[in-house]
Order: sequence, then C-alpha cells, then structure tokens
Amino acid sequence: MESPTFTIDVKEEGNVYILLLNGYLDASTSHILDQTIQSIIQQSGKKLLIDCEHLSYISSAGLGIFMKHVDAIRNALGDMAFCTMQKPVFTVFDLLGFPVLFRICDDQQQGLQFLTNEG
Amino acid sequence: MPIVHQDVFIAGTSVRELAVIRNFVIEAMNKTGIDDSYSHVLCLAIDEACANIMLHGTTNSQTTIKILLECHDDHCKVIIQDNASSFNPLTVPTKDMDDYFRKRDHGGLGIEIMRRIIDDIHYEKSKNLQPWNTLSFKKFFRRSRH
Repeated sequence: MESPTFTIDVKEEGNVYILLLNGYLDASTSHILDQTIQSIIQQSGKKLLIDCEHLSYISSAGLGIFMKHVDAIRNALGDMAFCTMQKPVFTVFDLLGFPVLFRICDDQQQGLQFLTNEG
Repeated sequence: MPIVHQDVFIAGTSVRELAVIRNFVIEAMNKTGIDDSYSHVLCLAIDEACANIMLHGTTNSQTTIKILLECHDDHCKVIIQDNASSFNPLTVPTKDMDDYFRKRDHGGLGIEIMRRIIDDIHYEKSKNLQPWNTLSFKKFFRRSRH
C-alpha cells in the first residue's frame, strides 16, 4: 500500500503482524493505516506490532485509527503494541496519555516478546 | 515587538495539501534557525487546525486557507484564515483523556492537541458579509510545555 508520503510494509513473525510505518501519518494518509489494520483483523490477526522507526510524523488522525481498532483486537484476546518510536512521534503519544493504553517498547524484539507472552 | 521573519502561504482544502503546508512551515522555520522540536510542534498545531477546516468545514473549489507565520524574538504567531463554513473550534469541550480511553472514542483529538501544545489561541468570525474565519495562536520559545 503506498502514498507519496506514507507507506506500510507488513511482515509476519509467528502469530504477530509487524507493521513497519514509513513517512507522515496525517489526515490524508490515515486511511492507509485504517485499511491495513482492517485487513489484518479480517484475516483473524490478533497481535499487531507497530514499528515506528521510520515514522517521521503523526497527527490526531493517526492516533484515531489506533483507537478505532483497539477494541476489536483486544476483544479477540489480541493486542497492539508499538516499538522504536522516534521522539517527535512519542511526544504526540505522550501528550495525550496514550502510553497508558498502549505498550511502547524500545525495539522489535521487546515488542515481539511482549505480544508473545500475552498468551 | 519586531517581526524577525514573516511568511504567507495559501492552500486549497484537499487533505493532500497538508503535506504541502507542512513543507511550507518547515522551510519557513529553517530560515529562522529555530530548533527542530519547536518546528515540529508548530507544524502539528497548523496541521490540526487546517485538517479541521478540510474535514469538517463546508468547502468548495473557491475555498482557500491562508496561513500567515510571524516569528518574533520570543515566539511565533500563526494566523489561519479560511472562507469555509464558520466554526469556532474553541467551543469543542476540553477532553478528559481517561474518559476518552474508557469510552474507546476515536475522534476529535485535533483541538485537544492544539490546546496542549500552543500558548494563546483565539478565534474570530468576520463581521463582514464574507464568511472569513480567523484562528490565531502563539507559541513561545522558552515557555514551551512540549
């Protein structure tokens, strides 16, 4: 899935879907993330690791997409975690208290460990 | 207080313009030598304000968004004017984020972000027949909360 300013690569590691976000996640690109997560849920994916290493920017539109899907994932006894978040992106997450709702891990390995241990 | 730097940009109302607006802000900030974290915060506030107009204002092909950026010694001031339908974003109640998370809400965070990252914010609806909305705000350099 591609847009001039935002792309997502998806890979599977065991039963965890790793979403590698790249670029700028705003009101013009958030539909790409929405469709990607929706598609994973439809494939019965329950565990999502959102790798933010190459995510340069996020606005409220991006945060809204994670909120939109968190219940469907957790109701299926899955979870969503984040890793390798850059400071500008973490600032926005932290500003509104999102770390209370979502686990933010230092790196992919820690994220995979967290999701795998969750059952 | 003297203006150190001033830039103006006029955008359309497609959400695709958000990337162009962001580039405008970053380039303007680069000219001032202000640090990246400040530029990011200003970019975010302008993005949220413009996205609100684009997504929630009634717009047509004649609708434009004018962004005026003024940098002073200790703050930048942003004035955003649009001729979309009138809406005062400051009438949106402040969010209780605990309640927001409990209810699994997933919208309306743009104004909340703006309130938390910028300093003075004002809205004015034009008193003339032309339906111009003016949203202005300041971001101080040293009193920054983020």
